[in-house]
Amino acid sequence: MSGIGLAFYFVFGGNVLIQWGLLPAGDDINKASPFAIIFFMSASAFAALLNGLVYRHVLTPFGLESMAPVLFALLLFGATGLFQGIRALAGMARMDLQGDRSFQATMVLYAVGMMATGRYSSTWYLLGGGAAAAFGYVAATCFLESIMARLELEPIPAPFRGAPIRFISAGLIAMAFSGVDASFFTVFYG
Amino acid sequence: MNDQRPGYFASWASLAALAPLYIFSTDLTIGLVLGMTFLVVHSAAASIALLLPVSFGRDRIFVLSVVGAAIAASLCASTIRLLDPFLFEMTSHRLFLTAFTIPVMRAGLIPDTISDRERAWENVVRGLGSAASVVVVGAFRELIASGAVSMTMGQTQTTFLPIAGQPAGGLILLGLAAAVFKALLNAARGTTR
Repeated sequence: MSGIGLAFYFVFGGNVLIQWGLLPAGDDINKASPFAIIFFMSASAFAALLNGLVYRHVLTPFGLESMAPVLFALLLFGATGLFQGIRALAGMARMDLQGDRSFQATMVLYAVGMMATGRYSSTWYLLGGGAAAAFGYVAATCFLESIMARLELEPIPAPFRGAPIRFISAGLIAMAFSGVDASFFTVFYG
Repeated sequence: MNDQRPGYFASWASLAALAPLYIFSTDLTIGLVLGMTFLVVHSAAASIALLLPVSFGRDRIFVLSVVGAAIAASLCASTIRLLDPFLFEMTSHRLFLTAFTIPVMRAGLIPDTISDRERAWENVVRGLGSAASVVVVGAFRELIASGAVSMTMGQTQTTFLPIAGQPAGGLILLGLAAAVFKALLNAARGTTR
């Protein structure tokens, strides 16, 4: 895959995560600071890199691909412990790791890692692919929240209000993204 | 927004939490594999959280539960690989994700009170219900995508309503199912919200 392909993927990378049903749980993403978004993208990039390198160079040669989630869990908690340690040294409060937001972030990180591992092989592309997918996820989340805010003004039938219309909107976004992905990205950049 | 009220948010969150598995469950075979794996992984996380001594501390118990769930997912994947290597190649990434779904992570939390501990069996029922719903969704999507259901993966052609087998179609079907369920619930309660 070329660098141009990766750059293109930067725009549409989140489509796979949307297609996988990894939906946002609220409008917090619109209130997130740029620092939080950059942190999330960096974490995704490193998760993709670690997952990709470990999967290719440690697990696959020994036929231990099934151990991938265990290794990811250990890496995740190792990184979390390190981060908590740094926060403690800096005199900051501990992060809440047992809330639904943290759970969802963990799942997205792993999904990004798996997605990038399946598509890229080089170190830089793994890093770029992870960050691109995270950016795409944030972008798609913002799109969905804007659509939901706009739909508040429409006379939606009562049974469709709330979760149902959100799922249907996400499905239409996924359809649009995958159409663009199939038409441009896959055709031109393989 | 309507779905920001506590009750609505809770029901939305629980549906959204399983959404990835519903989206991945494109046919009966994959639904069965995902459902069984989810049940094993969920039960493993809940059991570890329940059986470990409280003196271990909340954080440590959570970490051990999630690692235990990941090991359970690995064992399930290995078993599937032994039984059918092709099925493993097709479903391994979907299986791995089950260990990191929100219901599994919630099951890995230590029960807060004695009353919660006594109601821990509800976690098993919850896992069983979720696993069954994943299987049903897989069978239903295969049925409307191809007009038939087969226990052998890839035997049916997606010519009837192919979009139902696609992720986007899965999300739309999930939305429609949620709307129908909500309408039935409202009708039963006699409300129009």
